[in-house]
Amino acid sequence: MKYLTQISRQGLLRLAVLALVLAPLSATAAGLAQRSVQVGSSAQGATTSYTANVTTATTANIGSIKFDFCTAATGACALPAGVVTTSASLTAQSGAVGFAMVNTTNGAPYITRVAANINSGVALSYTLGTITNPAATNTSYFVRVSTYTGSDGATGLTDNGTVALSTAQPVQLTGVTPEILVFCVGTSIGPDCTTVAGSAIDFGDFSPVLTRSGTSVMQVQTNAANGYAVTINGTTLASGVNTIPALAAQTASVIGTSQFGLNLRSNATPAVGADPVGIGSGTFSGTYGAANSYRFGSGDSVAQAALPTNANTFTSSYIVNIGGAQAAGVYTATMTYISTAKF
Amino acid sequence: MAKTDMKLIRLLPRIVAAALWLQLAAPFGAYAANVSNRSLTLDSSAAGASTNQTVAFTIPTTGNVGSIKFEYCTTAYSACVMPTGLVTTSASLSAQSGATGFSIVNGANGAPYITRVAASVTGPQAVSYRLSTVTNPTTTNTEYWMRIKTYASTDTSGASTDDGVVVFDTANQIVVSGTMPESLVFCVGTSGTDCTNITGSAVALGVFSPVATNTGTSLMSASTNAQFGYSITITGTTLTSGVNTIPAMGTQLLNSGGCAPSCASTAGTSQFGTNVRANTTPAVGTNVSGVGTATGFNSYNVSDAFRYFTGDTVGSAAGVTRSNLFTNSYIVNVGGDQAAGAYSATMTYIATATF
Repeated sequence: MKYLTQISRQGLLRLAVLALVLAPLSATAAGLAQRSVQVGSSAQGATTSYTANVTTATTANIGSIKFDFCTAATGACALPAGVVTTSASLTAQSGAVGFAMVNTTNGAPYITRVAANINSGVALSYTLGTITNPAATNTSYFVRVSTYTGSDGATGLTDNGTVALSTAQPVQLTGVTPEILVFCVGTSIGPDCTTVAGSAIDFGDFSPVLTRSGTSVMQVQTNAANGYAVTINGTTLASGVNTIPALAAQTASVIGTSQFGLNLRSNATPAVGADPVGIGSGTFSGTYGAANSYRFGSGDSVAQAALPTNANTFTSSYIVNIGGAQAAGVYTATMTYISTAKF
Repeated sequence: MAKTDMKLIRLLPRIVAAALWLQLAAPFGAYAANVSNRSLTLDSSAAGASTNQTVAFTIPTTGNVGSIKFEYCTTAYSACVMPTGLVTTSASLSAQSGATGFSIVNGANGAPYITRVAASVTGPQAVSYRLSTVTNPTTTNTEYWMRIKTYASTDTSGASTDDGVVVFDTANQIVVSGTMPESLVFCVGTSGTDCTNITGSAVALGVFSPVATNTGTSLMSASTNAQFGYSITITGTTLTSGVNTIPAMGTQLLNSGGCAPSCASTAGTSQFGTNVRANTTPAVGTNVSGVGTATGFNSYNVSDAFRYFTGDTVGSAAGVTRSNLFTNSYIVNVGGDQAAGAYSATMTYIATATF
């Protein structure tokens, strides 16, 4: 009888030890519901923050919460290559507070405190800073979150849950903004230089009793640090040896007096032209910037910008008057505009 | 001793052997014909399973049939030993055809029989009987036999009219199992169709121009079994070259007036933005594809409208979803005054699943 009692005691002792050993692996742990882990960066190898959001399932005194980084959701936990948690810090906590970080075991940091009650259904949030992501890109990995009654991140498993995460390849965008000078000239234009067209202006028949006029357009923009300048180049209207005199200084249009000139403004006398438009900072030169006053000198600067500028569209207004003695003939001139950017 | 007697003595062993053979063969004697086309079909072959068993055979002999016995044995012809674990005492007759009107008598375990008022059967007659709630033998992967006998009597007394044996086997059940863990499959790249083949990380947007829009695309694929789905955020800075930047669309005052929260592409105006749609102005991108339920998110899900703000959600799924492929379209416009230089930006996409 005494022998049997000894056997029974030994058996009970063994059962008790076995129960203690198996306790942390108990299947009775409840699942942490609505759980997620938000990372600050998904780049492989990045050192970033991890914010774990979980909701408790069980009312219990909780002394620690562990975060196991694993290559698989279940089974033995293998640390994803490259993960470093030994510098992790607890940078924010809410829901249940008073925790401090224990980061000595790489891949299995836990936060600890003197055990205190947390009701079921409580949303908890903990941000762990300075964690290095796995080194493999576009790869799933898992954080197993477990709450314990003990303060050691091991004793008294209460709730647990697994969250899947993934590293992702960052996308590198590159492009080049070159030195820019976009300049175009024509007789019509839409919103930009892709729509410019035309090259001929026909003044028609000159007359001593009226002023003939015409327009051309040009658009310019540049990212040159010192902006740009546009000059006009050419000769006055000529027919063989006969010419219509160019206005050497800004002068009003005078009917019956032979004169050729232009400006970059909206004019009333005669009614021709338009002021510059566009979001850029370019403008007309002073000598070509007075409405109803005209001039032409080859090589003159007609427009400029002092800084990088978006597009401006300029309208060049040409006027022609002739005296009654102006020699008959077909008069032509070619106006060449030159834009020079100053980088 | 007479010569004839000596011959008889010499033949005696043969006579005895023949007598023994006839004795052994007696149950299958010339008076009982074999039932033919006989089979026994089990609904389950699992050892110890309570199952249905359908026995079918053809009665060869014309005559009265009042009962049919089904005897379960560990051998075909030796003295019948009931298989271990077999239980027939709860058996019922759940179907019958060919010769009908039977009811079951299951009092003797291992030897149920069906009975009726004896009635003539004209042979050959195919019959079938389904015995329900029979517990299989408990030893797996083992042969057993059912001996079938028909009788003119209603209680299986007297000599059987026809008989036959069928064999059946218990068999191991194969358990197939696996675990579906929490899953978030997410990848980002510049070419491919899903996370098995998406590769690349660089998007070259080319040489910017005030009179054209530069574009590029990247890809991302995501799926999850998270109950509350996932969201994908975009993080990073706008295109930058030293101190110079290309303004982000829809998120700041510069170049965003009147077009928040997203902007149309305008050539000649410095702007950088993205969306996850198929666009016509400029022609770039593809709508979200795949068998999943994910979609582009809010301002990033509008064709020909672009936006960029770090931390914005660009795509999401509200619940569990199979994979979707997102095409992220990037557009760049520059004004003529955009400072020259090599511009770059790193877009990092983060998928967060909520389980």
